Amino acid sequence: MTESRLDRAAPWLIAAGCSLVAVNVAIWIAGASPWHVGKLAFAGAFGSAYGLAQTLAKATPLALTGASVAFALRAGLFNVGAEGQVAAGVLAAAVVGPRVPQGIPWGIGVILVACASMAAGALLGAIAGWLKAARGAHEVLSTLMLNGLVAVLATWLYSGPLRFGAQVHTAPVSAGARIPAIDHVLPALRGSALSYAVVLAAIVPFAAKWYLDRTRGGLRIRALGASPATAQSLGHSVLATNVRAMAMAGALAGLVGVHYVLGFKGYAEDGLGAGVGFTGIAVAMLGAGRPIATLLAAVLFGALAQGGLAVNAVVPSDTLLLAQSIVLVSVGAVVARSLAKGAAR
Amino acid sequence: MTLSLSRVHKRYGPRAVLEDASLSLEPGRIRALVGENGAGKSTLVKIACGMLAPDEGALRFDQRAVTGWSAREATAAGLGVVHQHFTLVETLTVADNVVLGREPRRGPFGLLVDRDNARARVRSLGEKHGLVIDPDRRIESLSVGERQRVELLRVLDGGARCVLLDEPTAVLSPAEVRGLLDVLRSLAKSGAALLFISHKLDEVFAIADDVTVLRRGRVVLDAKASELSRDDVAKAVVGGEVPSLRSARVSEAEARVALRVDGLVCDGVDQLSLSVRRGEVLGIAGVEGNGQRALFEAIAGVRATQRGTITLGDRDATRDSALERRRAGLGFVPEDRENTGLCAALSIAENLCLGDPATATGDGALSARKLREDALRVIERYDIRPADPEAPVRSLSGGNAQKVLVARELERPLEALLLAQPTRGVDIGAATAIRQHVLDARDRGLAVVLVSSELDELRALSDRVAVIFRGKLVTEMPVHEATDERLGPWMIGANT
Repeated sequence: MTESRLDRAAPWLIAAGCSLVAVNVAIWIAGASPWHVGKLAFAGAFGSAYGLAQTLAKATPLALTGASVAFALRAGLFNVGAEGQVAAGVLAAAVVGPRVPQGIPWGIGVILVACASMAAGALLGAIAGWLKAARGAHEVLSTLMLNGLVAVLATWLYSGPLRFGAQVHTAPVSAGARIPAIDHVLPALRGSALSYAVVLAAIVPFAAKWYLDRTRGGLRIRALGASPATAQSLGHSVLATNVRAMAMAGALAGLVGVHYVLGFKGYAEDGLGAGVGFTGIAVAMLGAGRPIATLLAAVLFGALAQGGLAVNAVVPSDTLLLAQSIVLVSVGAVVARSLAKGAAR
Repeated sequence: MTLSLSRVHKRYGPRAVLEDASLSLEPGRIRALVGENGAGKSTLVKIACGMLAPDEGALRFDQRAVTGWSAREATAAGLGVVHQHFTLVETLTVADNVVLGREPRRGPFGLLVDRDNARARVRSLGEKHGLVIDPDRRIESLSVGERQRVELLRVLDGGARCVLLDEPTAVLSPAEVRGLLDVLRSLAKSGAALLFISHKLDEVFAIADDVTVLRRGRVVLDAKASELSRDDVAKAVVGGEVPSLRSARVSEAEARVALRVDGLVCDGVDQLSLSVRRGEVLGIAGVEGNGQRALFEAIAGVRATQRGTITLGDRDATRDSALERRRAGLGFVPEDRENTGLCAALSIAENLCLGDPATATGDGALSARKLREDALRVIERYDIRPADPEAPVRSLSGGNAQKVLVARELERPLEALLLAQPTRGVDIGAATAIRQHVLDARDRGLAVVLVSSELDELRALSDRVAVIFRGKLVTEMPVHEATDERLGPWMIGANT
């Protein structure tokens, strides 16, 4: 049986409808005109070059974490640890970034830091994958615990050993490892956080899908997701596949460090990237393993965050962020079945 | 007439599943419904019991037109269904499951369940129909056959006068099948109208008064069983001559032993030894649950062994991993096709590709074109339908899925094959095709260890037949001596 176009669009339509109603009710309760707030939010997110750039900048980490969660889902694993893997990636970039030698060619510096960020995220993911396969610890619990662990470690490092003089952030990364902001070529975007890291975010969901669909390693990951007992009877190492799937998912989330530390800020600070791992779960659910849908979902949540800032003077920005939760709930409630099918596929 | 469906049509999208199908059940008579996987049998049952609405056609129950009734109305009217997949609550007792939804009540305002009454109901129903079972046992402790008895009891407790049984014997051992057939006969004698779906013609002729054959959604045969021969039914099912098994050998078994197991001990297997030569099939008979599964898993390397050696050709494979054994030419078709054999969510092409040991390691890119071409070749060779390499295996009928699994193993260089229940739940046409492929592989020098609960299948494929009982091979005989009478006592442990 093939999925019709409507079947595929259903989660989007239902989620959009539900969140629209809920957000409007919330705005109305907050004592503002939904129409007015809606116009403000839309104008804030898409109405100007700057707003659009900010929306894309906020979508950048979400595309990566969304791809990370979706990747693990194909192995039948629910990676709620993207949050911690992002923090680890940021931390690794903060440690390696300033240490990139000055004379090194630009691209090499970025690649070095990206590798460090991915390795940090991968390590965290691999631990969860190993705990799952070797010790039977459910990945939802272990990744949540690791999130907490990394958060505490990062807070300590940022306020102590990694602190840059009197500043509340870490040492700035070497010039050879900075990713330029796009406002250098498009002056209209002045002040926006959008950097060329957005290109990375646009490619990663496609690359992840290509790996899963078109390589032997990817096929093994999907076989594990489809039936662990079959993978075992075929002689696959279920342990190795679990570790690899979670490590790769962690590496994708770790890449977010490149966006924040090399692109956006140039340094790391406590709380940088907080929340994008969890929002990535919502992005993955809406994306259901399809790269274009994943990117669209990332832009949607980026726009909600940016639009929320624009309406902050009228209603709390949380009113718009409510939409995010509603989307999650409606996707979970309405399309849990088709999601499970999509994840396995 | 209790239940009648006349001129029923049902389409799913562009595909017609039922076309102009009619069927009637009468009190005191058993009608067998036969047809290949995907012929429309299950759809017909779903329409009859109200789970599906027909696009066209009339449904009558007790002369009452009931088109469009709900499953609840159907139950209330006296129609019961025993589905292929059981619908029991594992943690409750037999009595609780039987009366669930219509519990006898006691106490103030009827707040409490009268369990004594429930037990008594189960016992009296059981005695009446020969469905004896302890009402206080929990479902999780019951065998498959016992669970089915509980399903049947529940249907009867609901006052069903018309019972539809969807492939009730597919999961039963031969002894359990005989027990079930006795129960069904006694039910019919007491006036119930029964519909019995099965792939096995000997069961059909053992029990049915009337026979309906469905082929591609159409009724192609509807007659009294006494007026039909097995051949008539088989021909109607496949729509032409039944392919017969060419079992005559092309070559004799070679002297070289391909697989040898010595003194194997593991959880479920006790001091078991066997050996099978190239070009030879060793059949293992036995009541299910006597270590067949453990034996295969241990040989395949997915279950830890405590003692004993496993030799593949000249290679001591005792310490080898499952993957090393596969590389050394060991094939494995597990009995649980859906969960252990195949990846239902993946496509035919991907499942076939997973059989190649090279897929089990490394990260190299897969050529989509090669995957597709390889799959198309296998699809043609094994007549797998739909002939679409991208089709997910879960969309395939049981017979076609089994063909994918068997092809995945046979289509690579093998020394020895562990083959469990190769045709369980598979229709006659596909079963014959699968058996033929196994025999052809044998003629090319493959050694096969076959576990099957169907003695006829064991006799059709094997050179020698051994009997497994409580984890041990208790006897072995050449196939021409392996009659039911000789195997039976060994299977139930009467000779040990």
